[in-house]
Amino acid sequence: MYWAMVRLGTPALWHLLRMYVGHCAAQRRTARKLWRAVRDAPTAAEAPLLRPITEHLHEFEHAALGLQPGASPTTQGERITVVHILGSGEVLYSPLPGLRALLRTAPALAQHRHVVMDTPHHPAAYLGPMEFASRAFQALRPLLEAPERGPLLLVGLSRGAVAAVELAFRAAERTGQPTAALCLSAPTRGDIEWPASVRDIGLLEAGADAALRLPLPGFLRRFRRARFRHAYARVTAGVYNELSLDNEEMLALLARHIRETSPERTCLRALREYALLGRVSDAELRQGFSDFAARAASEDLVRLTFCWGTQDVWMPHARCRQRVEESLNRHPGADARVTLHSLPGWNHGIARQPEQDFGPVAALMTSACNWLQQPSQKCEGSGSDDG
Amino acid sequence: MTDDEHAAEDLDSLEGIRVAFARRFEGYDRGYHALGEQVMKRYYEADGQAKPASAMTFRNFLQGKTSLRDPTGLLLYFECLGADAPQMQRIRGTLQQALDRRIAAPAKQPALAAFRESDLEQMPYSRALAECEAATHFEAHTSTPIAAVAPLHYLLGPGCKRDAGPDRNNWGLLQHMDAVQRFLEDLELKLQDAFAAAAPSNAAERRWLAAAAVREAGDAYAAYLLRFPAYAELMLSRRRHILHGPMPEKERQVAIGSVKRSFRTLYRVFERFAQEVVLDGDRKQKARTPDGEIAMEIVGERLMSAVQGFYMTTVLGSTGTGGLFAAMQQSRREFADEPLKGPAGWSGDHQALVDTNDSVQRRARQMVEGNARVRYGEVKRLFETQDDSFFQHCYAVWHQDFGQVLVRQTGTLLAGELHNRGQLSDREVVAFYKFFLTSKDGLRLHSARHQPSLFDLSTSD
Repeated sequence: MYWAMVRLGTPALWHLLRMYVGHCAAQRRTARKLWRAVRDAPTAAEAPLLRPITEHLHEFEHAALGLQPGASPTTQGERITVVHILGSGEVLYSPLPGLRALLRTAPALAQHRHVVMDTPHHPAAYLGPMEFASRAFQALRPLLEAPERGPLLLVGLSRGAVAAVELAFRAAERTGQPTAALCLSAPTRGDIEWPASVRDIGLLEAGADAALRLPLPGFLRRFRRARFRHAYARVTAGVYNELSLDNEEMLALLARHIRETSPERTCLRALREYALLGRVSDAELRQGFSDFAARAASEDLVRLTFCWGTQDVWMPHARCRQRVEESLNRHPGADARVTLHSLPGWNHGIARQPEQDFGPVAALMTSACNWLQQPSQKCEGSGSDDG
Repeated sequence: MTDDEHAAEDLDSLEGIRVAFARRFEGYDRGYHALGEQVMKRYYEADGQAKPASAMTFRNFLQGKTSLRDPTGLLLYFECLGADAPQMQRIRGTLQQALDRRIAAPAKQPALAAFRESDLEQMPYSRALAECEAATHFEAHTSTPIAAVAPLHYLLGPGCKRDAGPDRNNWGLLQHMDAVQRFLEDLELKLQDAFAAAAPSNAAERRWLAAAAVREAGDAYAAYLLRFPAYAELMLSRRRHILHGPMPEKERQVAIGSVKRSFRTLYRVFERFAQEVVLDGDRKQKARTPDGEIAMEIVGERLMSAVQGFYMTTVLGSTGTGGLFAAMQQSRREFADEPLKGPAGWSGDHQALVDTNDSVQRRARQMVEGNARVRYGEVKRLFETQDDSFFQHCYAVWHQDFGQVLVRQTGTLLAGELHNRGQLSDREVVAFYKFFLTSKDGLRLHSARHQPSLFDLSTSD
């Protein structure tokens, strides 16, 4: 086992070192800010932001959304359950800054129930995209079976967007109820050149896994925990800076998450998430999207909305959109249930940057909610629509 | 009449009986009325006999003039004309069948109306559906292989509803596919858990787990076909529905999607095997190229066909005539007692399948021939009771003939197909075969198996 540690740990340390060296000054500044926020824990107990529903599902508290406690927005139509599915490297609190901005822009959306689905920790979820989808569905199932859930809107970012597509169809088939999905920055191609930050993080997975399996005495375990916490903060800061998500609000939430959770578990999960991004093949994604287009051609109960940011530094948005268009073209009728949008000015983290104009995102989400509340209404602007 | 002439008499049809006894009556030295008196005397002396018909009725029967409301009233006449016990048994059976046909005739006529083909073709489709429902209702009672009325019923079940409830008798293909998908997904989650528990650095254990998963998937699918034969019949039977007709497009696409997902779940097992065993960790991600994906799909299809082939040759092939099973196992049966270098071919379970079928066929013949009044339910139960031990023997034959070579076949087929598609070089494929077929570690993988099994059929009930 120690030999395995040396064999795996040596390249892992090399990748970590290369990543640290490769980080630009801005990323290092973000890392320092995040680390200070982690260290400087507030003295008073912090108000809870989430209420657990199941192990993987948590509902945002009213206060966390910036709403007054006890105030209930006027209910128009049936109350929808909006499930936020996280992207790679995100944590439970990640959607909050964007969600607060969204609700300021479209207050009517506050009437709905906002739930966030935690990314699975189980290593089996990261064997491949299919395994991830099946674990995600297991996590969602209790909500599907809950009698009070109402119509379902899945909002997924990045890898969460791809999962949202699959989950929407499965939910509709399982329940016979209309289901909508808002797919933000869906990576529809596996042949894109992921940035070095993503690749390097993924390469750390094997070494981290081996390090965690090592039986260590007490003080070395503490040392290991501290190193994992530091490494996690460092890699997360680098990614968030790259995606322009390193505002004060987000860093404070990240710091809170790091303080509240097991650093080893959280770090290893993040490494596995990035490693999975690098493992997904283009052939697999192509098959998956072809399959979804075939289902969309005949499934009345599902509506999908895709959007990509034109300033996405991680993915070529035009090529990703083109993949979906090609899939839809092969299945006549599918485009009646799927709309595609390009959002100017947005980076990869759509609906995560509170300083951006949330008008278009709010409009798309409102449109999806309107459809859910009146399922006989066709989705407006079928085909493609920009902005 | 001589004994040979008696033996040549056709006593299995009403017309045959009529001809046989007209000839016997020619040798009778008295007239109809005298015969009738003799018969009445026998009737009063005996207990439990059917009341005889009159002598004139007997005469009219012999002359072909009567339609016979109750033919069993003629039994004593035949006894008086010298029919022995075996002949009386056959005559009794024939006359009772004639009576039963007469009783069923009023109900049969409307049902048969649907099968006068020209009439069916002239009917509106909706009426043809209604006419044929009588036939499928009958089939449901007799437990014959399923033929739904129309493609709609084949897809959604007799109730034509997506939610058909828990009773599998009300299921169509869609509901069966849902159940199979749940079963396979549950198994796949357990296989994923087992695989993910191994450290990424422990290549040997990951290979073993990938191999054991292949075996487990094959065993699970075979067990499912045995446990729920209705699913197999829906999927594998050519005679799926009586009438040609349309399927609702949405449900058809749902069925297609469901089958695709079920098989993708199964194929995922082969993908892990390809990555861990054949491609040694697949650092270059050859399994994930279009050629790699196609290779795995082809091999997955071959191996799933092995399970379906098992169902055809062993499960179906060892019932009825039993001919297919006998034909497929000729050498193995012939050389069962020879000292073999390879694994044993013929086993007690193989013999049990043959013996069970022979026994049931023999007992069914005896039941029907020995008692013309035997209830259909008793005959049916005879065949149903066969099923319990029969399926156990079938599963044992699966393990011996198919299951224990499944991993070996998977490895050799995958390597060959990946090489064929340019994902493995000549050197790499030779190195793999050497490892997989001759090395100790490679041979260990052939017998990799989860003990106890991870799949659970009870939750599918």
